[in-house]
Amino acid sequence: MATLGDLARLIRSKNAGLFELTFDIMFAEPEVYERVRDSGALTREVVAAHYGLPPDEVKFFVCDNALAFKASIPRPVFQGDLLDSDNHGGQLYAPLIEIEIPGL
Amino acid sequence: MTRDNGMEIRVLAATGVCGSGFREASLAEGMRRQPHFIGCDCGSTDPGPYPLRVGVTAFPRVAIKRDLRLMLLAARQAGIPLLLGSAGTAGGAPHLAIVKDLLCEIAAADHFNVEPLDPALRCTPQSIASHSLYENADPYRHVESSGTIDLSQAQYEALDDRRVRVTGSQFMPAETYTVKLEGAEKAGYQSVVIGSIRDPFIIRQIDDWVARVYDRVQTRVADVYGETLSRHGYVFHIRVYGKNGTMGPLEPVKDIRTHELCLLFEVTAPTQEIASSIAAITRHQAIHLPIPEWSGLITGVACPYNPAYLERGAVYRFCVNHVVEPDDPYEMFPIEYIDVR
Repeated sequence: MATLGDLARLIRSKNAGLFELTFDIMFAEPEVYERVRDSGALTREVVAAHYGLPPDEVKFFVCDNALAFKASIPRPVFQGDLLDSDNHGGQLYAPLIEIEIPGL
Repeated sequence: MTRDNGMEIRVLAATGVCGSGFREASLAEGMRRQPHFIGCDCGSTDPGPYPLRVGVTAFPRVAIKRDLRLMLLAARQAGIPLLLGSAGTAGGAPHLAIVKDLLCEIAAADHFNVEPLDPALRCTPQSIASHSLYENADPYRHVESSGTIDLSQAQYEALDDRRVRVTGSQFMPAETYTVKLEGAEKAGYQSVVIGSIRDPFIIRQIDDWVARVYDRVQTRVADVYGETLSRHGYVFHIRVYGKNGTMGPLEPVKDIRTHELCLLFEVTAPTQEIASSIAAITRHQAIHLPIPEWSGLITGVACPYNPAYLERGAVYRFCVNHVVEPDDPYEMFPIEYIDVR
């Protein structure tokens, strides 16, 4: 058992326009990426659960050529609006770090 | 890039955003590949609505000038165009004017140095593929003014250990040319109070305590201002750092185990005076808010500053995000040619 934080070379979040947040989970080694992909432990539903969202509000992409997974969610507050807590959307990936990946 | 007729078009992208910098040696190395033009985006919404609304740049003028100077001189020496997008962070008239002034200053007097160092960076198929992820909600479909870039069939192949060939990317022209239009407006004037809590009795009931502060402050504001300031005439907001200050409603951790919390009380109101008055009310209501564990007057918030509030001045928010269909692609972008000698 390992966490995504142990396995990924980079987990990041960022604005994708003013209304969406996007998460990139990127790997350095094809074998590690494939282990995560084939484990079935990282899915649209798992990401949705970590942000308290219904799965149909999460866009989820498996990007083989980039050795990466991508997920995008609606911003709870539009970027830069009065109640926005993270104008860059850069610190919102933390819950993904803890996702557990079975194996080895 | 390869056009349908097989002619190669070489584009030098000096940096992700003008003003953020790049190595002179990297530019020189790029120029050795004889690009047909230098392209550079100057825009970003990372700095929020402020630069757009106020007409200022996000990066310092000197930093933008440094990048512009190197790119302009390289382009002029090679006799190729330099194309800049979203000038001066937001691409509005005042931003364009700033960049135009900088270009005129640079063009009026300068010299050119190239430092021929070999940059240590390299591109791999994975790194190029990864770049399509950055700041895009969808990694495969990028909608632009004149059509959509479709990367779903793109192949990334290493030519050697530094160069990558991309094939299979498609461009689907839009039926109608469109321009994205963003606008920002003044949301009001803001004053904030920063405070911290160390009392474990308050920390263990923080959600309830915060709800009571909201209630106390709103009641007191209604007492003081009466009909002259409605409940919707100002915004009062409390951020709790150490609990969910960063993630707000997206925070999955509900149970906190900490010995200290930082609170940020924010008031946004029609005038600075009203904002600061409500901030002063907030300080008083918050620090003395009673809790059941103690009897007698308590002071439950530590305030590092005196006066406790900070005036943030005018604050802004985005208010327009539209797609415009101009009759002519150039009608929103007047062109003025300036000959600088």
